[in-house]
Amino acid sequence: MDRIWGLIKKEYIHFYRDPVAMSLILYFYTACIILCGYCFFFDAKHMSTVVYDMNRTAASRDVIEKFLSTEYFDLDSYAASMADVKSRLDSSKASVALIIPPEFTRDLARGKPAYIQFIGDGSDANQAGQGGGFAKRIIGELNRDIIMNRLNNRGITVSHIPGIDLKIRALFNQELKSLYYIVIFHVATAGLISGIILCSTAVVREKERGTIDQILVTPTRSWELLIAKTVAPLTIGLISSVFSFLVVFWFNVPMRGNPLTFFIFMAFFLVSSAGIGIMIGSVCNNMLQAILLSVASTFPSLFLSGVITPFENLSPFLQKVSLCLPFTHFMVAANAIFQKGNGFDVLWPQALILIGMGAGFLSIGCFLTWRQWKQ
Amino acid sequence: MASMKRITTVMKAEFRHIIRDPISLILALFMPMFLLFLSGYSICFELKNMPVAVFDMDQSRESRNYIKVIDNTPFFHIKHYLTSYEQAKNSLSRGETKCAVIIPADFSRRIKKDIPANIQILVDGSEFTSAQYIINYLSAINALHSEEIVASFLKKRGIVTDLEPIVLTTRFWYNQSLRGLTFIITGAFSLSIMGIVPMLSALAIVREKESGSIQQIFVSPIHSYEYIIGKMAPYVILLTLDFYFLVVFGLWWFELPLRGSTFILALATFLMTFATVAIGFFISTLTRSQLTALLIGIIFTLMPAFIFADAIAPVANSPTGWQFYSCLFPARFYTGICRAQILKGSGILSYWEDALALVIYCIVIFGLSAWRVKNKQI
Repeated sequence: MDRIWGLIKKEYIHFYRDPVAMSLILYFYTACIILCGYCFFFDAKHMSTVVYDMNRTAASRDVIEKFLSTEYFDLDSYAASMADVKSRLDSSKASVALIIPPEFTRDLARGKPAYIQFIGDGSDANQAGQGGGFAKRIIGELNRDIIMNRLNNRGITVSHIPGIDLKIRALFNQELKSLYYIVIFHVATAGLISGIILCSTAVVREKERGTIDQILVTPTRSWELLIAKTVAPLTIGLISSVFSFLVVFWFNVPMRGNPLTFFIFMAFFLVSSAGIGIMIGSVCNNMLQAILLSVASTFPSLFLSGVITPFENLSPFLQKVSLCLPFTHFMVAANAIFQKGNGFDVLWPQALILIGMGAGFLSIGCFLTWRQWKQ
Repeated sequence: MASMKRITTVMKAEFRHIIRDPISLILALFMPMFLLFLSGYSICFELKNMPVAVFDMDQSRESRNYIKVIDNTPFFHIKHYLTSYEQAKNSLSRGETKCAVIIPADFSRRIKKDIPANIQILVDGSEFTSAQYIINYLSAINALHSEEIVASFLKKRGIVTDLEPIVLTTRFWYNQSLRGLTFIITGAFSLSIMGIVPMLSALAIVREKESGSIQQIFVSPIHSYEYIIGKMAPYVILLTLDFYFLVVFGLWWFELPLRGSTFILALATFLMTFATVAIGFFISTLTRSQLTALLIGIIFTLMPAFIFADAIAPVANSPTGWQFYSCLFPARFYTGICRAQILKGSGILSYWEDALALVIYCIVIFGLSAWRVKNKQI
């Protein structure tokens, strides 16, 4: 026990001596989250729209008004020619275009199909596709009104057109803001990256400087050293995550669950990240290799956790990969604690998985180090 | 006077350094490829088999028909049948499903009477990404179904009228079939350059500082800019070649077109690599330990690359003040040019601001690093 305690103290001294690295870790847990909170949006809202109205009548202006009054489309500019439209889209000043041909009102009055063209910048397929969906919904509503007017004009009095109204209610996040999800995602990312990197570099540093030989001649066992290497980054991560907690409040992310539950999960998650870091550290021979592998090992978590693409959209193979990452399970848990207010009664599977993964990774790391020491 | 000999000597030394650690070299060269495949295969903009819970209070032919319409699409499948509203809320809260369709008891009566009927959808808003997809897809399915109801209503009454007085034709330029891939692959090019390169080059000088061999440089007659050019050249050459390969491979593997000029794309890729290598060198003049260099690299390049490279989420969504901040990173300029050349085939003129910004960026960041080395502030 004394030995472990000594080793842990030694790790703390390392961090204490490198205040720049410490403040960068803190920056990661706080300022980076603020940055993400302000700039990283997935909402397809406020798309800048270039309007080319060749018709210039009350009816065409009505349609345009209908589009621009929604939160989805914002006016970029009125174009005077098709070339204008093209140049706005080419230079990405506008992401969608709405074009009303000159015969629009005439066709509408005669009961002929009146065409409107909607052009989306397909290079951003996600936004363009959603924009197209919104446009169809807007025109659909317009059409129902027009049909009703026409029937009334013909003397057929109908009070409503039948159909099905979808009443959509988003639970836990009524306004459907992406902000909360992104902020929680970033807290998890900070934990992941700092956990992996601090541990892998701590292990490799001894090898690179040759100080590992000094430890080898002492009666220290490999698992004792690795536990010491895990404990220091773990406490640093937990303390920093208290600060991220403040940032989370800054963004008014609801905290419906118990903060303590969140910190317990954070600890489990940090242990599993540390486990990955220890594994990487025991495989690599120098700092550069450890750093490259650490960074590469975070990419799958960022892409496959279901934040950028919904989990259900992934191919079956990638779904399996995603389930093997602690990050995915932590995201589910953290999100549920913050926004839904769940506790251990619901989240115990995630807790078990995180503990299991942490223990698994750490013991693989221990085994690898033990084998190296024997040689 | 710049001496070619001094520069090539530094270059040779740096090349040896790189080749002496083949594992790192291979890791570094394959990381962009890894990122490319990961983003290419993980990012999919089409909903597949999303499990849905249904609470059907009506239990009629009409309601069952509606459920079947949803179930028959490739986007959803009905997983749970619920018996109360509370159950629906609970199942969302416990994360068993992300969406519940609730059909009220008067659904079939209203449809038969030709009155608008209601359906309530509960979506788990806490998982924003999937919530957005669910809402869009369900709305589209519902709109189609509603249209059929309107058509049969008009037919029943013998009214002949156009169902679509206004016809919306949607077209997507640059990417007709809306393959989400094109956006993400072009983004991944930019992301991998911006995210990986500065880290590699930052570690290069810091390693010399850590081992103390940098002092030997200061006492030698070499000029600061010669030293930096010599140090940078191997990285710029190797990485530019790596990224040329990445872009060509990415275009071929994911079957993307190259509509614009190959020359401009190649030039932009070179400038971008140069700028990012220089950023790494600038970072390395600021720090003393490899860990710090790496952390600065992640915080000031990898994270901004994710946010500002326009690769995953559009930069245009950020508030104006932050957009200025995003200009501190060359990634967004490169993404703009890259996308314009690959997808739009627009001339360089419509992107001249981006191109100019990239060139200015290269000059400024190079000057800054040389200035730091000259003042021995390294």
